[in-house]
Amino acid sequence: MSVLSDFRKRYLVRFWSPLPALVALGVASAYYFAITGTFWAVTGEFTRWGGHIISWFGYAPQEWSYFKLIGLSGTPLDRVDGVMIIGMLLGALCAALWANNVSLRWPTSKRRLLQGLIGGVVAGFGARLAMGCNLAAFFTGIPMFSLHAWAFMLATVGGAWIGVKICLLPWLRTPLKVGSQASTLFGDAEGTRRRATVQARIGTAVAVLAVAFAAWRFDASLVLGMAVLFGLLFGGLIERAQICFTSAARDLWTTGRTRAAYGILLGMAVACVGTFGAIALGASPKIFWMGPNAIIGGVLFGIGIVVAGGCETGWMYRAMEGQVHFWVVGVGNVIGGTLVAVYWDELGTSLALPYPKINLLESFGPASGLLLTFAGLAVAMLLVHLNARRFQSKRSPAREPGQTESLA
Amino acid sequence: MSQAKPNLSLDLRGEHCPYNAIATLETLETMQPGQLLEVVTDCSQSVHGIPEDAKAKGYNCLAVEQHGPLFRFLIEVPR
Repeated sequence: MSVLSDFRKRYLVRFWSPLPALVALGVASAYYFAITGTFWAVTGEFTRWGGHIISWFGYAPQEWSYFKLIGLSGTPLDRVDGVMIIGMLLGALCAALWANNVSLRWPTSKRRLLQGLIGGVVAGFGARLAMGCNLAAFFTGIPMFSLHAWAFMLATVGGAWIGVKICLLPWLRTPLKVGSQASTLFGDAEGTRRRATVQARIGTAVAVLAVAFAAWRFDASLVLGMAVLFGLLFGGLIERAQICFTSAARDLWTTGRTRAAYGILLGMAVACVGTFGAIALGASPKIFWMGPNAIIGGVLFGIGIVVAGGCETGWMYRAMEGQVHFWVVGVGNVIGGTLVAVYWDELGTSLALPYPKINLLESFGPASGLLLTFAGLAVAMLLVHLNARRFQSKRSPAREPGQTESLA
Repeated sequence: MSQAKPNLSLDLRGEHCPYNAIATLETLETMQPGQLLEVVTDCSQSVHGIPEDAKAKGYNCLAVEQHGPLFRFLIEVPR
């Protein structure tokens, strides 16, 4: 029993380090591309959900140019992206339950909820304008060797700067609750343990349900079944390691954090090796227009994710942990993405469609395209490192932080 | 759970990033060398963020504890 509880504490409760998790996500996303023929992406599917809702009101969104572009046939259960997202949500829920980390958490004020909704709408709109979010136009877009993902990534970091300025406006700050006595919230260790047992059982039930769901989709097709399994892995990993793309972009401007940014860049580097191999074997990469849409979309996305406090993958696992704020952010994302679909005839013809789709592997040749991508990632890492130096204090460098103690 | 007695306790339940990290650093700024700050959050993300930021600013993060959905940090202002 003690071996089991030791294992639980070490791997299921204590959070994993983001850097190796991001590298694992990079490897997994390359396999996902090779197996399903599409990249790990979520916002396109969120927009399709918006399309389904619109069709309930008597409209015919399947006739709209944007949905002709991204497809709107069947239901989420028949689509690779759809079942993968269900897998992600189940994986994140399961991981959070096993860690005794599911609890309804209410935001400090209604203002925060409004902030989450507006941020979510802006981020969803920006993401779909650029044909992807922190995944398809960034983490899995750069390993497609599509130039637009580079523009989106840099624009997102720029937009995050504006987002930080907005977030720190005085009327978005809430008064701090400071006391002079140690918190009394932690007296009931026995209660925490009982709660952990209940959540672990529910978590196991969710895992069984997830496996049954995967088996059902395997029955429909190999690709759909694999998409569920990858979704479970993606969702479980981002929750367990608390992967936050928003933090990687935002905290370049607030406190100079480096770990998440290094992890993302390294993850993309290993993903590039895998996707390069898959493309060499005949898979066709997803390349999008290098137009103003990628830059404007990136800036809006950067502003939106910082204001909302989380991006399209961030809200998914936080919503599963019971953070009410991020349910609202998710709704905002769907609304924002759907707005792009509504106005695509105007937006697309002016900002995206006239511009070329630039594939680095074709423009520079496969070897040079790959090398150029690695060089770009290396330069980005160097910039993150140099940026962190702006925030180093004049205090003597601190000792290593204390060991994490898990009592859940 | 660490039993050291904090000088100040900051309750950040309900706040998400970046507010919890920024509020922690702002409170630490007001404290004297040798004093201890307890921070309570319910945002899992802060488990990575708060220790990294505190350490980068030269503070000593003495404990990071998970109590189910609540997280507790003890941070010392160096002497």
